[in-house]
Amino acid sequence: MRLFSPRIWLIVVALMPLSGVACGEEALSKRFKDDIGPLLRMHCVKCHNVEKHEGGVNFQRLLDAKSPIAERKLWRTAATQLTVGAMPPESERPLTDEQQQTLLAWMQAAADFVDPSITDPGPSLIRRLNRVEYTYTLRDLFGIDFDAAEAVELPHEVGSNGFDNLAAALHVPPALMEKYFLAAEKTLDIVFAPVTPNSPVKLDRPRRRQAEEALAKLLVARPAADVSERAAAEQIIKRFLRRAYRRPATAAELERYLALFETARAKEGASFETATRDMLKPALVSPHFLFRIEQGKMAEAGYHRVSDHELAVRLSYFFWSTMPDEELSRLADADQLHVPEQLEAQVHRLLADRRARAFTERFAEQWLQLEKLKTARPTTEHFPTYTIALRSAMRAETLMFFDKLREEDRSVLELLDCDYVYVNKDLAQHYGISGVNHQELRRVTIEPGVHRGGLLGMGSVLSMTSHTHRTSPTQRGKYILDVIYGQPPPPPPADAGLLKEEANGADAATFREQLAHHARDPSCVSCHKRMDPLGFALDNYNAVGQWRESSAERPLDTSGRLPTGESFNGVAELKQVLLKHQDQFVRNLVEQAFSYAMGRTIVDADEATLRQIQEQVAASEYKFSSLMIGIATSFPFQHRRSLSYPTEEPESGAP
Amino acid sequence: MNAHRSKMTRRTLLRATGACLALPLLESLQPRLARGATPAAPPLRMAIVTVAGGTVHESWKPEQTGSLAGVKLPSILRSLEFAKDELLLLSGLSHSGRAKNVNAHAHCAYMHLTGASLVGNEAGKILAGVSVDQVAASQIGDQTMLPSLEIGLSNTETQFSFRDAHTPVPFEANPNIVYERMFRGRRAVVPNWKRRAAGKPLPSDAPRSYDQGVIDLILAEAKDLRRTLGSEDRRKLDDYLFSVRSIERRIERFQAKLQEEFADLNDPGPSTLVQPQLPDGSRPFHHFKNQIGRDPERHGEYIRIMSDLMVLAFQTDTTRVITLALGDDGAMFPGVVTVGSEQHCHTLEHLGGGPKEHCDPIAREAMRQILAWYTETFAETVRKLREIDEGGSSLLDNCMLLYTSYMAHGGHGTSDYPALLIGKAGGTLKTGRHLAFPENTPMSNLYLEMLERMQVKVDSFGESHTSKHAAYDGRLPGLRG
Repeated sequence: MRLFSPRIWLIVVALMPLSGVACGEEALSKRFKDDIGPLLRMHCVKCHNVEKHEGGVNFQRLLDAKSPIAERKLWRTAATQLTVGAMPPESERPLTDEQQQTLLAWMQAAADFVDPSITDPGPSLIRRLNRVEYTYTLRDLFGIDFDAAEAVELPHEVGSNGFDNLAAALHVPPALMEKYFLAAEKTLDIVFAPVTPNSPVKLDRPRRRQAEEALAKLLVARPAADVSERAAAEQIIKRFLRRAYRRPATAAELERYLALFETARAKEGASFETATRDMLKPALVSPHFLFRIEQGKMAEAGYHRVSDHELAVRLSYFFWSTMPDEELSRLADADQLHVPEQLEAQVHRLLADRRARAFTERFAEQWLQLEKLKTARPTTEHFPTYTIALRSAMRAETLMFFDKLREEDRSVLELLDCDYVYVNKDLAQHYGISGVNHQELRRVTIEPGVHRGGLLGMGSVLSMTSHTHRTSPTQRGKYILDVIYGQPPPPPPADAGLLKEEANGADAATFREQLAHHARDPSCVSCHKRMDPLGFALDNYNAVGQWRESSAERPLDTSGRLPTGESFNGVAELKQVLLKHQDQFVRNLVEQAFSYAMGRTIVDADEATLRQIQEQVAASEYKFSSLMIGIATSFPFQHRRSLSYPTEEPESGAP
Repeated sequence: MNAHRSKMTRRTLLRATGACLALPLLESLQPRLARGATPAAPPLRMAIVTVAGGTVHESWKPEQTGSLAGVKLPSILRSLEFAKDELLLLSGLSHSGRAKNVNAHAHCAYMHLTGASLVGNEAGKILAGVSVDQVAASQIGDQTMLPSLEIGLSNTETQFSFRDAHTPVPFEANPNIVYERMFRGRRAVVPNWKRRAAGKPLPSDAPRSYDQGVIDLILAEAKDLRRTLGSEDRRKLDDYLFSVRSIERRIERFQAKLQEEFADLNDPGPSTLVQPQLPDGSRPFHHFKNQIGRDPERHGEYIRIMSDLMVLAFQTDTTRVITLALGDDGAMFPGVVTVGSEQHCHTLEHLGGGPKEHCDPIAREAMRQILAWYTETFAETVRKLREIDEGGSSLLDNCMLLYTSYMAHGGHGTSDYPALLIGKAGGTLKTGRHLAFPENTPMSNLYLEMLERMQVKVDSFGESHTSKHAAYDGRLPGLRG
């Protein structure tokens, strides 16, 4: 679930006279009691009350609330609805201009109110490794090239309204637990194959060598004249758990494993190696391995700094989606990792490492909703050149674009506009760029006449927001609102239809008129007013993202006017408008990356942190690294709520 | 004979130990047969077969109510004409739950089998209710190898089964994995219900298994850990503990059942085992899965395999509760759809679903074609169930199948769902009829009726008693005739 934040549509609100609105918490509360509450009661509560809560909004409960200001998200939404004229609906008593301004000014002030002292790191749950993290971790733990997750078909997490690494959605159903057992077994089968008589797995030569190397690293000690079996086993398990648990094991934990070793060794026909194998198995299904555990602590402040080992884990999974490497672990052992200079140096190292592609790919894929490209509707029947190869080049282009921002530490604003693309021969042809003959994607500098550069010119984005044989201005507009600005319009009402082409086609001159006809229902209008103009500006791109000056069926009309009054014609002018509001875009990117890093959705307490990071990014010329450093060095990334923190989050916006 | 039998048992069990790597075997394996009351007759099985896309009402619902004798079934149901005497069509059933922070597909999907009054998403956490299949599984699931099966196609939005209000149960799409879950360490055998009712259980001679050590160790770790965690984190860990313990329980059940099935091996029931044509397991499943959405021939093949797995699971008494999700809103239907130019199901749902007067007639006809195609594949399954003799009664007689969809119509409708019961449910349904209930009668009432027939003790389910349209004290009168 993405929360609302100061956005493009609130520009107008920001420009409203703030006279008479004091911004302190107390003043805001008083003003609410005196002016705002009565207005809500008169104009809004009829529908937004305890019983009816239209649109999931209930103002009634706020009338006597202690701190109505704490509802940042609600006030933002309400201000947006007021600004675009969607509320109150036409059937209800209208607000006078003065009343509207009073409400807007207060809502804006309440939405913007932030306690500058950051003392709440927000909720942080223990997190199960998701499929990708599990795979990478297992690979790095043993150093073998075996995709255990694929072998047992671990389910892909479904990022329900967010990322696939959000703790709240990472469950452990029994069927999954069974798969972890099976994956552990299969992995150990491979690693121990070289020393297992009649091993169930047959390895080819390179894999066998890999297993032998893995085994050599695992069996750091062997029983000898002066080393007892138990002592050897202890050395092995101690080193192994430090890596598997991502922290040193306690004496009690070691003891449990050694007891298991001895039971296994006592079995008939068991060798030292097979007993060792049996000893390792529980580690791979232990909660300390499957979850990223952070110890609860009591602290008077209500929060505490996470341990250096916990910090190492936060960093390595944020950047690499895998366990900490030796360097991080060493610094954590020495309790040095949290020292600011060390930390910043490490962040730079992590970011420059190839493994950081795990971040760019996982993050970009989900933030930009690239998974939808796989099921994009345009078909080769209508677009013969839209082949599977072309589609995968489109996907690769977007991912490479994002990863190059990291690798070359470029400005994140290039996502909105730039003078280059990454193309291969097919894609260049598709984009109408001549002279490209390479099969792999490479950067090509382009002229403005090519009409590309940035997300809005990418085939991936344009195709996945289209219908089978035509464009969908609504979906493209929604994509801009949702993905670029993080302000998804609410889902359409349950019985919303789709354009009926045959039904309306005859008497409507343009596609735009049809859509306008379709969206005339008041319950549709408030969102379509925001989405459709944005999408129409992109209508020079056909359903698979090829440039066109006209459409065969109807004349193109790419002009648009937003509820805020800004107007534009075509993609070039739209980009100018978007760049004018680049702060809102950056703010959304910060929110998204922060949510990914923390494994949770944004909460009210994050507001000051998010603003801080955004300022840092702006002050560093929007460099990619500043975003990552900003997050990694932020207060919530370094701290955890302590056990004394009251756990229940106040409900926001809920009926 | 005894020696042979004993040797075979041990071997079977050893094979189980070897092959059931995912199943850490228990050390103390007291056979629990004495406790479980073996039914004298074949047990009742419940399945929910749910397809994508809702229905097209004028082609689904007969105009006549009451007996269907002499009534020609509407076109979407036409392929079930041969089983008309064994079906009970219910109309008017609806959900009235609201949604929060999710789109209309997720809204319908989360409500579908839960009857929850509020569904959605809150701070990254799913909000729904426990689903009817999971209620059944939690109460009668320990009588079979697997408490329940959830199989077929589901995605982020279309999640149907929930263990509790926040925990969705994942659907397994890969038929090879479903088969492996069913028969890992065990041979498929047709139960001999007559012998089971009369015979005595065999003594257990299970080997002592080392894997209990693994379970003990991680349980001890989890318990220690639990003490140091805050309450939200504890809930996460309890999720883990629940799963580890359920594996432990499953091993126990597994051992006991294996004894029983061993006896059937030498003297099986009268039917022949259904043989699902599993895809080549050496090729990644996603190759197959990708084709399902594009090629109706492969799509049909997939539905057939998954349906056969359902039949096989019931035939072998692997489980008595199955949810089978078929179809895909995102699929293309060239060849199945023969009108108009659009073949993308989701687009057609929007153009052709919903109240008839709002719809494009060509798209509506296309939707009808897709839905009739789904029913044709389902009719094959019904035929198979009917042909399986369980010793005097057919498997279909001992089944209660609900054929339905997660939406009432393609425009995300939530009233007057397609709801078709098939099978005599052990004689507790009077079939061959169409019962029309007043519009908005809660779907939850049907679920309560189904649970009751499965011997599940609950007083209410979903909105059965809380809906603003609550009726009939949460039941549906007249199902028995």
